[in-house]
Amino acid sequence: MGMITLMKRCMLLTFLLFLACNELPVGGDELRTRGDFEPQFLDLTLFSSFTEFKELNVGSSTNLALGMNDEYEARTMLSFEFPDTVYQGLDEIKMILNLKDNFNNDTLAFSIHLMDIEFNESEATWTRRSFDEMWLAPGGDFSEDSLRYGVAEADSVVLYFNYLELAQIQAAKGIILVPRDSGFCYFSSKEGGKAPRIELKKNETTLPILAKTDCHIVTGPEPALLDDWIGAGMVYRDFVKFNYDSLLDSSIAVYAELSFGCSEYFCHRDSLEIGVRQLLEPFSNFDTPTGPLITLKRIGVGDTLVTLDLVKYAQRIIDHPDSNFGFYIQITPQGIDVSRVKLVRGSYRLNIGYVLPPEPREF
Amino acid sequence: MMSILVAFLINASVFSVNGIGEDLSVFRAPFLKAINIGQLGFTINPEYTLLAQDGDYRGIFWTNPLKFAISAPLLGGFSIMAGNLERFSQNYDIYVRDSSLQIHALGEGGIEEIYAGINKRLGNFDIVATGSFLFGNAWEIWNYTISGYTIVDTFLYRYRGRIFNVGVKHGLFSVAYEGFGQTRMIKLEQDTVMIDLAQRLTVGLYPRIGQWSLGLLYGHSFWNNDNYDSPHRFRIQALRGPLGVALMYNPWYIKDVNEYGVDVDYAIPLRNVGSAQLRMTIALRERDGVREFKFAPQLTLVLNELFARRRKQ
Repeated sequence: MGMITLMKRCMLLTFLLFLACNELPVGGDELRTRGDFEPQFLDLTLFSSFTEFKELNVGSSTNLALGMNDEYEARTMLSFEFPDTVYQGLDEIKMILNLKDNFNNDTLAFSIHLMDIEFNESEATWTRRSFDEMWLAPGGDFSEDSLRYGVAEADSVVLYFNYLELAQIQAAKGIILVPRDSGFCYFSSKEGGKAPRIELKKNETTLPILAKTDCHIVTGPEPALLDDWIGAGMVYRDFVKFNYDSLLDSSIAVYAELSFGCSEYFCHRDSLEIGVRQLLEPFSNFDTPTGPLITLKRIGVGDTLVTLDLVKYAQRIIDHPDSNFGFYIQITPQGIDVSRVKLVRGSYRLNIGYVLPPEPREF
Repeated sequence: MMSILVAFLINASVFSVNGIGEDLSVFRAPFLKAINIGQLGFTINPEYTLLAQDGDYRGIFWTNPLKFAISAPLLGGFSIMAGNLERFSQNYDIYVRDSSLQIHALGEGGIEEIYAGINKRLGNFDIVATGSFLFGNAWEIWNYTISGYTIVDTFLYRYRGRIFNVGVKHGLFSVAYEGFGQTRMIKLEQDTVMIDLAQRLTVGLYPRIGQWSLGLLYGHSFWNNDNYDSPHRFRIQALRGPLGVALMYNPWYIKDVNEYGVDVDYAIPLRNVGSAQLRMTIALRERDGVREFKFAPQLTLVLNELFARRRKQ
C-alpha cells in the first residue's frame, strides 16, 4: 500500500483527531445554563500599610555578609574546632573565605578580632549572642586589637597566620570580621557549600579545618513612621491590609493582582525575591503569626512597578471575610543579604477578577 | 497528546451538563431475548461526538463502561437475569471564552446500575420483574482563567438509589413500566437531595410483514419535576435476517433537547458459541443552535449455554 493511499485512508481519522484536539468554545451556551459567568473586576480600598522591623538571626543563611555604610553594618563571626591543641612544624597557616559571585561585591577592607565570648550561631543577632544573653556591646564582644587586617576582593580572601596567631585563634571563642571601609561583600557560608576554612600545610600535606559555626549579624536604621520598606538582613516587613468588599460575597476570585511602586533599592544583587504571607491573627507586632508564603516573585533591582499574584489571599478573605487580617510583604529569604527596597506609599492596588460560581446540579 | 488521551477516556454530550446527565436507558426494555438458554453477554460501546455551532466544530472520542449481562433458565418456566449498565452519564468537556475569562469545565462519572430480575413464561406471555441498585460518583472540575491566572473549582456528587421494572411481552406486543425510582444525591459530601426518577411506560408492537419483523415502540417518561420535560419517545425498527434498521425520536427530559437517530444492526452467528451483533448508531442532538452528532459503533458478544456445553464435554 502506497503512502498516498495510506494517507487517504487515514485522512478521516486524522481529521477527527484534529477536531478532538481543539479547544473551541463550541456549546459554551450550555455551560451558561449553570450560571452567569460574566467576569467582574474590583479594586479593594487600602485600609493601612506600615513597616515592622526586627533583628533576626540569620545563622542558616547561605551567605556571610560583611560591610557598612551610613545606615547599616554587617559583621561576620566564625569559630573553628581544631583536632589538635598544639601544632608544630607547619609550613603554612592560612584562612580562606570564598566570595559569592552572585553578588556585586565591593572591595572592602576589614579587620579580624578574637572573640571574648561564645556565640550561638542559630540565635545570635547584633544585640544578642543567644536568645537569653545580650552582648556586652552590641555588635559582638571581641578584643579591641585586631589580629590581622585583610581586603576582600576578587574571588576569595586568603589570610596567612603565624603560630602565635593560630594559638590565639584556638584559644578564643571565635573570630569576628569587622568592616573598616564603606561597602559590602558576601562570603559563602558552610550552608552555602564553601565553608570558611583554615588550612594547615605541613610537608606538602594540607589539613583543612572547616568553620564549625558561621553567621553574620546586622544592624540597620529604623524606618520613619510613613516609610514602607521591605528588607533582608535587618528585616523589614511591610504590613498591608485592604478593606473587604461585600461585592465579593460568595464569588470565586480567579485573579487578584497586587501592584505597588518601588522607589529606592539598596541591594548588591541584580534581582531579589519578594514574597507575601497572610496574617493568621489580627496584627499585633512583627511576630504576628503568618501562614506560608502565598506568592513569591523575583524582580529586577531597579524595577519601579511590582505585581504579585494574590489570588490565594483573595480567595481566603472571600471564604472567611472575618479573617481579613492583612498580609506582610517581605524579601525572601530574609537573611540572604543586607538589602532594602522602599515601596511607594499609597501606590498599593489590589485588583480582583471574580465570577459567581456555577450552580451545582439541582433537582 | 494528553488531550487526545483524555478525550478517549471521557464522554462528552454537551447537554449532560444539566440535570443528572444523559439518560442512557431510553428504549431499554427488561425482556430477555432467549428464555430457554443461558446467555452471557458483553457490550462495548465507544463513541465519537462532533459538536457544531456557528461554523465551529469540536470532536470528542469516548467510550462507555463495558456492559455485562447474564441470564439462565430455571425450572417451571422461570429465568433469572442480572447485569450492569450506565444509567445516566454526566460526562462533558466544554470550553467557554469571554473577552477576559476562559472556562474549561470537565464532568466525569454518572449513575451506574446493577440489575437483577426474573422472567416467567406463562403460555405465550413473558412476565418480567427486575430491581436495580443505582450507584456512582461524579465530579465536575471547573477551570477559570483570567489574565493568565487559573483557579480550579470542583464539585463532587455521590449517588445511591434503586429503581424497578415490570413488563409483559407477547409475540405481538409488550408493555413495560419502570417506577419507584429514587436516588440520593450527596453534593460535596454535605447536602443530600432525594431525587425521584421518572416513571416510564414503554409499549411495543411487533407485527410481521412478509419477511420483515417490525417493531414500533412508544415510550413516555413522567418526571415529577417542573424543571424537566416528560417526553414522548418513538422508535421504529425493521429486522430481516441478520440486518436491522431503526429510526428513533428521543427528546430528552432536559427542556428543548431533541435527539433523532438511526441504528443499523448486523448479527453474525458464531457457530457453537453464540452470536455477535454489530451496531452503528448515528444521532443528532440539538438545542438553541448547538448540534451534536453522535457516531457510536457497538459490539455485543453473546455466548450461549456456556456452562451447559462444558458439562457435556
